[in-house]
Amino acid sequence: MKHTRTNRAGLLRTWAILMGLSLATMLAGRVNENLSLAPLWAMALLGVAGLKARLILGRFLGLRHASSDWNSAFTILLVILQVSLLAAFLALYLPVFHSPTP
Amino acid sequence: MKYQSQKVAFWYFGAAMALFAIQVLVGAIMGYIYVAPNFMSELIPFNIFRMLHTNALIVWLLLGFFGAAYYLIPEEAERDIESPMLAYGQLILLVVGTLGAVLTYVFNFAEGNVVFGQQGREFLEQPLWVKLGIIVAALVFLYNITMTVLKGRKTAVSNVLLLGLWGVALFFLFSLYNPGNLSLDKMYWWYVVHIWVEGVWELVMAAILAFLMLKLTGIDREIIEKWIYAIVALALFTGLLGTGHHYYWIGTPGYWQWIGSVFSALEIVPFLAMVVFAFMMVWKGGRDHPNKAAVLWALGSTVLAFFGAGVWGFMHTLAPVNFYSHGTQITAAHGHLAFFGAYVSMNLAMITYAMPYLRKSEPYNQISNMISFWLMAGGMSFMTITLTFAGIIQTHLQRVNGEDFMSVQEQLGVFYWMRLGSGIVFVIGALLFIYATFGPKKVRA
Amino acid sequence: MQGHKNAESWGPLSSLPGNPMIWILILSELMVFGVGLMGFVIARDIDPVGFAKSQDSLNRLAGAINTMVLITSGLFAALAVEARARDNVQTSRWWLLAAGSFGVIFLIIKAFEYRDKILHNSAGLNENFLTLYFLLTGFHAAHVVMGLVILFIVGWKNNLENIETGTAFWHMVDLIWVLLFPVIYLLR
Repeated sequence: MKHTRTNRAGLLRTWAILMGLSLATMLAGRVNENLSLAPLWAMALLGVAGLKARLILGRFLGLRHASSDWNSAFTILLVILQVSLLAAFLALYLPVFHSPTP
Repeated sequence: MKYQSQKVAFWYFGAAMALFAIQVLVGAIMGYIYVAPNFMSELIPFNIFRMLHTNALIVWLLLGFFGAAYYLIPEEAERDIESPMLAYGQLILLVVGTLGAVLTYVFNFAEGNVVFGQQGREFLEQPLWVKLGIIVAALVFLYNITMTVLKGRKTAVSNVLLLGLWGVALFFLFSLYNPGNLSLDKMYWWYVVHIWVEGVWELVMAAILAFLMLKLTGIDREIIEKWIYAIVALALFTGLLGTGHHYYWIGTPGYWQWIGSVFSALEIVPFLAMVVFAFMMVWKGGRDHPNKAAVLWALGSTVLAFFGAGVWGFMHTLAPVNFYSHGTQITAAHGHLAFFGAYVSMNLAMITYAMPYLRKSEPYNQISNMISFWLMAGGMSFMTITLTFAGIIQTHLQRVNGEDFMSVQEQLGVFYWMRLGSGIVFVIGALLFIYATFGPKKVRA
Repeated sequence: MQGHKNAESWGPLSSLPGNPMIWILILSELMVFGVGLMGFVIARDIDPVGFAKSQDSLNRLAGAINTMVLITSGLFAALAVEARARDNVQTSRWWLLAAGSFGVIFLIIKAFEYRDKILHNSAGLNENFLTLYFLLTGFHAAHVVMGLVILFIVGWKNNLENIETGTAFWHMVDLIWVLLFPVIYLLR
């Protein structure tokens, strides 16, 4: 194991970005309305969520100080997760489901 | 053998192998009953045979674990066992209890008696006095082993082994608790053998595997310790809640279907980790240990456990699948390969490793031992595949088409014949193994 | 985990920050919640109308605010490590306290949500939805509680490795919520 090197300005910047992305999530997910999301918005929503998770891993958990193999491994894991979730969500649009609008 | 008291293990292994022989012979008889249902039915009913087959398995695996602990703890703690006399007493207690249980099952002489009669709960039929005897034996064992470790060198291997064995004793206590609510009764019922095989036994298995890797390869203890910590964490993380896949259809709330599915789907991970661990250690540390058969069993065990427990378990662990498949021959296929791969093979690996030292002989009959591995592994794999096909067809005919149980069984006849054949191959392998390890020996020059 | 030789023997895990066991946990938790979320979206495919109606009954704004609460709490936890790395023990304790307080705020908001759901509006909702909503967010909330205990312990047994490992758990809880919230509350 090794210890991470962090600095306050960097952490604050990460925090600000994460807060901004949270607002983006609220926008993409229409936090104040009861309507269904178009596929593109769903994609944006899950994409932003994955990005936020990656930022927390890299900056707060210090993954970026680890080897590049680990960094790629976690990126790939998150991409697989978010893409599978998106695919399962969009499966509703397949003709096998009788009601095409989710 | 560095410490005189390790000799205790010899008798444990001997008792275990005697029960192993009985277990597989009863298994072969049952395989025949499947194709000729009236065979011996007047003498001993099928359910009694099944009790013998499964109970003998559990008891001999435990005897093997006790033997393994008595063999490896002195080497890890670097001192003799606290009290070899207690260890022999424990063995006698267990053997008497086992014989008592068998006689009770077969002759049923004390029906209805609270202390001496067999108890109705399936697989926990042992009469009360036997259960109490097992608990006393477990306490004696834990006292003996814990004191040995506490007064000696403490290593990750012995810590993990102790944790596992304490867990075994703890969860066995649930065999005494039988609440009136049938769902709760079933839930605690699963605590006994199933939290063992999906949780604490995995710790025992990992500890034995780690010990064998230490002895059979040239890898540093530090590296091996890290691996087993990781494996133990994964096993407990997935296994304790993963056991929830047994609660799907016993009247528990529906959320168990989610908890059981999610966690048990990940139970394959610790088994995969064990495969990677064992092969990396042998590959990297490949010291040419003379006991090739022990290496074969250790490696084989991880692979067969991965398939039997991991892959075959995953196959029917998700609730929507299990809804159709539970209680069919798919369960039997999984049960056979999982028990053989994980726990039988790891026990046989330990016995193969330890016997030459216990008998002060060269590793002998390596060829017959290795042939016995391939006979058993081959026979069991074929049986598993046969039963899997039988189970798939059974699931379709019985659960999807709704045909009745017995007419489906008749249609599965050809698979039961093939299972009998593979079972006989397995029995031959088992007897050959016992001959190879306990038979004529070559004295060390 | 004493000494340098020991630190290297974790193999590939050695290059990860903090105690390697925490990374095994992070990976395991990601898998568990990942599989759980997949289950959620697939259950949704079976009854999209019922799910949409059920999701509409959630307080989305409360969930979104909770996201920000946890992210801010994560910042405080990271600042605690930063302070401790400069041997500033007291400051690191204050940051841990701040992180923990925001964790408590998260739990309070969550409790109001649960209370509302249990008392008022769970009738007529999709059963799979309710089960998974309570299981996934409840399991996550249990991790928050556990995280509070861990933050307390590492604030007390205050050394850099402990704080790194303890806050790593806290960030993981954060991370899970960031993935959980959009799927359960917003994806519809």
